[in-house]
Amino acid sequence: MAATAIELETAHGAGHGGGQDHGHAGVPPTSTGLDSRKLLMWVFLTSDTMFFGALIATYMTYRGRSEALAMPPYPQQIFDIPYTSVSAFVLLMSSLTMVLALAAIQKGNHRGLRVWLAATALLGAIFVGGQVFEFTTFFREGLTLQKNMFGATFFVLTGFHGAHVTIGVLWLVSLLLVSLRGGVGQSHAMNVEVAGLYWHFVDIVWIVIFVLVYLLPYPAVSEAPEGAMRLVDAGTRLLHALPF
Amino acid sequence: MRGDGGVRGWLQAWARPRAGRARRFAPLAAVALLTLGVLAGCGGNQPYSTIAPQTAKADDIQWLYALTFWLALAVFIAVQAAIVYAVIRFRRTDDHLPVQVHGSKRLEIAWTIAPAVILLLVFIPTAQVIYKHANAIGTADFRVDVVGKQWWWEITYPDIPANEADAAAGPLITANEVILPLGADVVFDLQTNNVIHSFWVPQLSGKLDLIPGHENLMEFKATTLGDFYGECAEYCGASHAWMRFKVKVVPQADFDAWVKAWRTPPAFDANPETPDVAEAPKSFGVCLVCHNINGTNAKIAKTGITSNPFGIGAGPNLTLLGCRDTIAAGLLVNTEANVETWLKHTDEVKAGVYMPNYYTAGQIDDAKVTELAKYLESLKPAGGCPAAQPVGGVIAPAATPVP
Amino acid sequence: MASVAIPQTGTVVVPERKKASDTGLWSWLTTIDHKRIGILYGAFAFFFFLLGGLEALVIRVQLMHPDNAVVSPQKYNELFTMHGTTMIFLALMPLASAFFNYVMPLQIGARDVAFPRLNAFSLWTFLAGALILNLPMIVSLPGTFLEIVDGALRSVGITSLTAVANWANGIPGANLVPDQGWYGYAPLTGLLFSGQQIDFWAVGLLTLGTASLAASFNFIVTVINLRCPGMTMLRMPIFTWTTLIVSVLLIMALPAITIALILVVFDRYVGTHFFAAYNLVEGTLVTTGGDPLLWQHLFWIFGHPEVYILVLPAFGIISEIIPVFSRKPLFGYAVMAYATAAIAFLGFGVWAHHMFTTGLGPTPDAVFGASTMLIAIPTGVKILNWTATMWGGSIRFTTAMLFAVGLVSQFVIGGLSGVMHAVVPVDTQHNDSYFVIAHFHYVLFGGSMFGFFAGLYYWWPKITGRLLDEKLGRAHFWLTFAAFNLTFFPMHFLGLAGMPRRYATYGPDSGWWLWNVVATVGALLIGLSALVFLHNVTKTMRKPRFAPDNPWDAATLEWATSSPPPPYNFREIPTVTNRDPLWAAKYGDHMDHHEEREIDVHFAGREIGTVQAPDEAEHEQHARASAAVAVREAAAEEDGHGVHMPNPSFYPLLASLGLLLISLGALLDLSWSIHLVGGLLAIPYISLLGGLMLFGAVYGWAFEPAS
Repeated sequence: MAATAIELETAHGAGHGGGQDHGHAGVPPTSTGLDSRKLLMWVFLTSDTMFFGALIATYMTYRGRSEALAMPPYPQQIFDIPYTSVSAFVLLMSSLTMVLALAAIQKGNHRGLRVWLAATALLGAIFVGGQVFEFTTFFREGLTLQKNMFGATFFVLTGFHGAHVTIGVLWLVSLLLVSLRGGVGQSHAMNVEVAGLYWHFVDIVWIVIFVLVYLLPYPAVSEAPEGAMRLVDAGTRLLHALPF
Repeated sequence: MRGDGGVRGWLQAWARPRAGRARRFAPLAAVALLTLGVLAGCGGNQPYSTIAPQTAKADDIQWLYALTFWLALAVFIAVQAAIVYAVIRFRRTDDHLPVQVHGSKRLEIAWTIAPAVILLLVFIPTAQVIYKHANAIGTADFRVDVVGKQWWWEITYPDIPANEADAAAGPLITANEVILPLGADVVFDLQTNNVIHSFWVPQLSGKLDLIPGHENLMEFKATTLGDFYGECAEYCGASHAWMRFKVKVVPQADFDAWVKAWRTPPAFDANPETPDVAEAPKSFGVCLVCHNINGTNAKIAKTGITSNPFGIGAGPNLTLLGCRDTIAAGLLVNTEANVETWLKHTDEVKAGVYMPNYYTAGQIDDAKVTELAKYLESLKPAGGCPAAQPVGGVIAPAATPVP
Repeated sequence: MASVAIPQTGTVVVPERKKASDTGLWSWLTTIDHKRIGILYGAFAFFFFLLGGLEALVIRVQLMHPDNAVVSPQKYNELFTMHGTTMIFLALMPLASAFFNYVMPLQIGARDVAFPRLNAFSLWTFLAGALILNLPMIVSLPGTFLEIVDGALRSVGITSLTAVANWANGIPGANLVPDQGWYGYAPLTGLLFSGQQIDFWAVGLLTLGTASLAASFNFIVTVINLRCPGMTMLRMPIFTWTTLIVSVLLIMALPAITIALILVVFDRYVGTHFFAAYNLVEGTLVTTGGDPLLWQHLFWIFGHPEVYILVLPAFGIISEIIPVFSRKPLFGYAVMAYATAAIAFLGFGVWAHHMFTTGLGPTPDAVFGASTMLIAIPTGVKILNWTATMWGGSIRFTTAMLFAVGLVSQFVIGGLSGVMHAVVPVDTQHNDSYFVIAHFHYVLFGGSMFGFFAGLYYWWPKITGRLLDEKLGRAHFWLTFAAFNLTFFPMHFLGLAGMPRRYATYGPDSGWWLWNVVATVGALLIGLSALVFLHNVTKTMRKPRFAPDNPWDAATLEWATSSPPPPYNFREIPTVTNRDPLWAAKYGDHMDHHEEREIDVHFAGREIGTVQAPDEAEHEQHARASAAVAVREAAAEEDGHGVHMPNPSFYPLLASLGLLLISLGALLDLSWSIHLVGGLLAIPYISLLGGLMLFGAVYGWAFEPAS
């Protein structure tokens, strides 16, 4: 955003400039008072909620399908709940360090920002590493995308989430690098805040996924022989599950 | 406001030779067209007509359609009249500034409630008919299994054994023609193992899809004699347009005769090499991998949804083929000449067809094609096929409706 | 001369905008000006509208006779697939985007959208998606037309063209045109039943989705954050409201189809079975646990809101036009805004009405029937409010107004047939028949396209500085109106006569011949009407720019600036105190919308409504502000127009180009790849190049100084 345009906006008390590069301090000159980048992140997260919604709906539609068709491996054989609980805890803690990072830069504490950003990125990286290890273990135990519906929906849903965390880690590392070169001043707290919004969202989504995928009990395995021709009525089931 | 209001002003506006005139006539023309179309739907030869119901179920649907049609027509006329009136009455004639109305809570509430009331009037019978039709499935007693293939229909009568003496012979199976006895309360079990199809006989019932992994049930009571046209209504690939079939409602005696004829081995003896009448001619050898003919040695082809979705070893059952009106699922009229055409130009006349062309592949020559056509056309009962019924919809309902 | 007032503080004296590269090709490729981006969206969209129309004409010619063989069934299937996909994703959606881009920032008194470079990225990514989707069609079209001509020649005994036609049909890629229908029902899109053509469709739509999402994020932030002083939410023009609501619909609906398409790609190339109930393993059919119906649910959770995404922009456009040419404010402004929001909200709760014939069961059928009927209520309110806006007005029939009134009149037909489809048993007869084809063409042509034509005639002088020829415009309207009805009204009869959609041909015993001929004649006339419009455009563009700033005596802010507007839109950011600022300025404050005080209005002798009475205090304030404008404008004349705008940028185009190459590399030739992980992962060189371009572009973008 042009410096002159900013002056113009400031003079008029409301923002009309073109440009996402509001690199300046102070109250963002917009109709709502909200910084446009922050609003953009909120709008993006609304949409991202629907992305996860579609994947979670797919998971829930096929939840228990592998048991009903007697197509192993099954979630309860495969999951290591204590292990995944620890990695979920790590991810939740990273939200705390993210809050501390933002608080630091808002107070002008550059060292604090760097320490907490690094901590957040590290915790995120530990989570991703844990997921890679988990995936590898599951793969060795015979769970693949192709093996059954549980494998397909599990890997796609948690993989999509893992990709989000990975992007978040890269983002945090970039912020850290820019900060180390002195590029993130107190006036750039908004850059940290927007990254923080994304980070907290990804954490919250994991809570939902963790509950729906790992914690909720699965139905018993059916007696049907593996791979038999069977009819399933998923569409109707999905609709009957609707709240009306 | 304009000074020359009222009828006089309206007439003046009407008489004004402007572009508005055509607009005035447009809704009129639309209504005229509509009427014409409805007449055309009832009057002409429309074997797929949705508004010439021949079962009680289709009648219910037609009744609902008529209800919504007349309500919609009333709303259409009212709204168009308001638009046309406004457009004529309030044309700009001078530079006056009209009264600046910003809205009216009362009016807006009124035209929120009015459509809600009309919709409630439509919804109540809608829900009643939905549940009535859903509940009727439970009481039906004549079962027909339909498996949708690319691009033909396999019709199985699970309760009618192919051989009364031998239960292992399985049920009676045919293709592309559903023969029903008059009065049957029939439930169709619709399944497929390839792509989605939709089973639709407009004069007898609304459509219902065949979806892999699902089992859909459709019920109606066949109360009118006649041949009713059916078609696939869900896009299913290259030859979607040639996935036609017929439902033939025949008197009970004719149906029994047809079942009996189906169980009787065909009396074909044109091939001196095969004195046994139960054997198909040698030239049928390439065919019997996929096509069964009851009572002959052609009995290895697979059927049902567990069969190959691409028709490998699973083609239409050809028993009593000579009695069918068409071949290749409504593509060609069933004549010897057309069977020859089909055998020689299979892939040219039906796009994407899975049946190989053995003629161009050099496995059957002209003589064998002729022999095959002759043989296939001979697959009919000695006493002739069940009497052809008038095409459904053209003829009035049967004189003696079944109780 | 306006209620466009500026505050007393601050004078803008800023350096001149850079002169370099103001008009050349490079300036268009690197533009981040919302107006230029809007124009480009419009131009590309109109090109694809014509392409989709051409496809439709071939379809209609094929259906003119029973057992016709103008094109092969395969080509026919390709044509209807590409016609639907093109019209929806490449004509109507980008046309709406064109109007959103051009008009909305002007209407809210902004200098540009919130993220201009993201906006440029949306445009070029849209074009990339359109190219991916249409690449096989572009390769195949010559063959199709040669085949048609050859067929005609052969029928009179000339076979000289056959070899050429066969050659053209054999060009690599000509056999890869998507042919599975625009809603691509699984499992027809699976690897068992379809070839690589599905990939062009899926990847094309994914790319287009990315473009639409980015554009929608931008529009939402712009409307919420960049409104000029005084422009409260309930003072926003209805078209801006529509922009906001449609953008919200898009960001909520697109994820469903994006995920569904990704799962299709997984099914095809990873070996999952999300949408396939059965799989062939060594010749044996086995259950997978997947379900084709899930595709339908995910698709229609996107697909039904999509209908509103296509038609609401047109509603917004005519909500601007009808008041202007009736010289009356929009009847029930707030209700119109709420009705739009209600339609959008309800639009998410009706998707299963596309699935009434899939055997959902009576209760879901009844519930979705009811929710579908509910949508008729806000829609009906809109129709009646437009009529009431004209009622008592002083109506001037420009071409824009003709198209707007045409929409109101024709959309009623589409709306009413829509209600019929909510009646589930009736829908089992109408679904997938020509009755449905008639219905949605009344909605999407009689609704959306009429609205877009209205918008084109209305805003053309603002965009180009030239007024379209009204005489030709009238001819265009009446020809379109007549031809449209001639084409699509008979399709109701065809549907009632049981003709299913997507039939490459029909038998002579079907009784469908008559109305098919009528429809074909109508379609050819629609083609002619498009030529009339093009003639009007070319004729107009040769004229000098003489359009006044506000040729229609319109009320909203885009008419307060010059025609065409300068790159910075407004010399001074306006301040509004009123919903119809330019009218308030011209006609005085009795035009104002004060919610507090109302006076009764008598209509047909009866008291039916209220008019807001002027507010003394605000009137006074207003007069002062107007005076200030005059002073300011005089000062500005002397200053010249030195508003500083962000620089053009090459990075959005580079990023989109990177995306295009990534997709093309994967689609075109996998043998040209680097093989990683022991050959498991193949990365095509072209994709690699695209990835590098995308990475470089994003990096450059992030660190590019804005000015």
